[in-house]
Amino acid sequence: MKFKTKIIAAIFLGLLVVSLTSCDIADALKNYPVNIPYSVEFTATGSNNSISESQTFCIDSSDTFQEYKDKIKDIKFTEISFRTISYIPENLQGDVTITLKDGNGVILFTESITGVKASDYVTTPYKITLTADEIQAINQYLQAVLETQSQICFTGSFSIDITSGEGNHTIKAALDLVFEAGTEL
Amino acid sequence: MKKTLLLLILTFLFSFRTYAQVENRLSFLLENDLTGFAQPLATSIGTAFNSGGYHDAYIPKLFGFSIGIKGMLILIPDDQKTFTPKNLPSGYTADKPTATIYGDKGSVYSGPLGYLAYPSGLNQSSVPMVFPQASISFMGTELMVRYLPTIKVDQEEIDLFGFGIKHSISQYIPLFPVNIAVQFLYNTFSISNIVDVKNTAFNVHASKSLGVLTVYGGLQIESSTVDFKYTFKDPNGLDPSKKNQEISMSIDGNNKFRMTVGGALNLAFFVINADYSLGNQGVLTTGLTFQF
Repeated sequence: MKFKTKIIAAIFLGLLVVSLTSCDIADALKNYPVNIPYSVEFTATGSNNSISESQTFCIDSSDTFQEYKDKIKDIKFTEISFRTISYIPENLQGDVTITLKDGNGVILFTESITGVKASDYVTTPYKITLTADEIQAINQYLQAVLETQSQICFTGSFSIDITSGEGNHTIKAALDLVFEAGTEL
Repeated sequence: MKKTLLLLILTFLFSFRTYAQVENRLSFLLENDLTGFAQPLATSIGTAFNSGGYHDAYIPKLFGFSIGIKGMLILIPDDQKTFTPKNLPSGYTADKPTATIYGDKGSVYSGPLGYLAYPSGLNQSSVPMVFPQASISFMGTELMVRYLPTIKVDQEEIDLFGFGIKHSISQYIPLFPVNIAVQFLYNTFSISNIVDVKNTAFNVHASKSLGVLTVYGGLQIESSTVDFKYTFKDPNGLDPSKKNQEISMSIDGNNKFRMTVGGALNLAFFVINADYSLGNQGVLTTGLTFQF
């Protein structure tokens, strides 16, 4: 009888393990981290040696963000890169400065890239490597805004000090960002 | 006993929820990435439904009946938690793998049109599955049935039906020291608008009774096909012309062959069994059967 009891207990334990694994999966299904990519474009034009443009953008306008909006419980920064879409003249080259500010105008980071040949970053974007402090500042802003249920907006500034390229200059560039939203489905 | 029953019901529902809630993840993917992302799921479903078909090769010569519940724990190998996307848009390079349905974080790839983001997986190393089955046998042949009435889980309707036919071979060989049988299994499983699964298996298995203990083992060839249906949401904004397009695609699981070894304890009218199958995904199967 004792032997049988042990066997039955072992089977129940086995079923319990299966049940707990199920709960684990249920949690995994409930908590779904969603990648939210977002791109903002800048068109800077002029005949001066320094041209720039700023854009204010809100990631709430992303369709993916909208789809999960009511289920997002946290959001964090993942990655950012810069790329060129089009440019005039063909040999356009210069020193690029990118600044990202939060919705309150606080600078989150400034990245300077020297000797940028516009043609180099059309097919291969330049990945901007942020420091741990800069990432923390972005994440703190994201979480704070999420908690107040306000719009998550940024202001991105793009400028290029031209070192090569004659005449009127035009450069259309983009800042690509990815955020990870922790959602509870 | 009530608690055990509740656990079983919860296990059952959770195991099906796994399959009912993958659509969020699939909506990131076009056909070219679906196989890489979802094939381990197709394999798991096939592995689960092609399990638990037997715990003894003996079939009563006159009449037999059994009803029971089978629980499976499918073990996901690490190499099925990631895949490297193929056929990325021009200018993109898959320089790192991304998660399959069982992996962790989805990767992002940078390219000339912005980031290409992939969905995260469930971050699981094992998947449970529980289902009931019953059988009747007569003259050395057994008919097994797996059936559930339509169940609603998270607004999806889940249906399960399967059957197996098993025939004793050793009955034709007098005084043969072990029981040998062959079995054919067919199972269908569907979640209303997302997946439709068909599994088939053929096995030969043998068993030997040693008092209350029966040891058994078998070899099985099997297949599984999962039809996925979902809506592509174009989260990366790279394929606006395909946004909200219905994707419908069949994926074959990687489960082709397995070897099973197990044991069963015969306790009066109850049989408790456990076995392990070595295949593309390993599976631990336990069962509690009432039989006579």
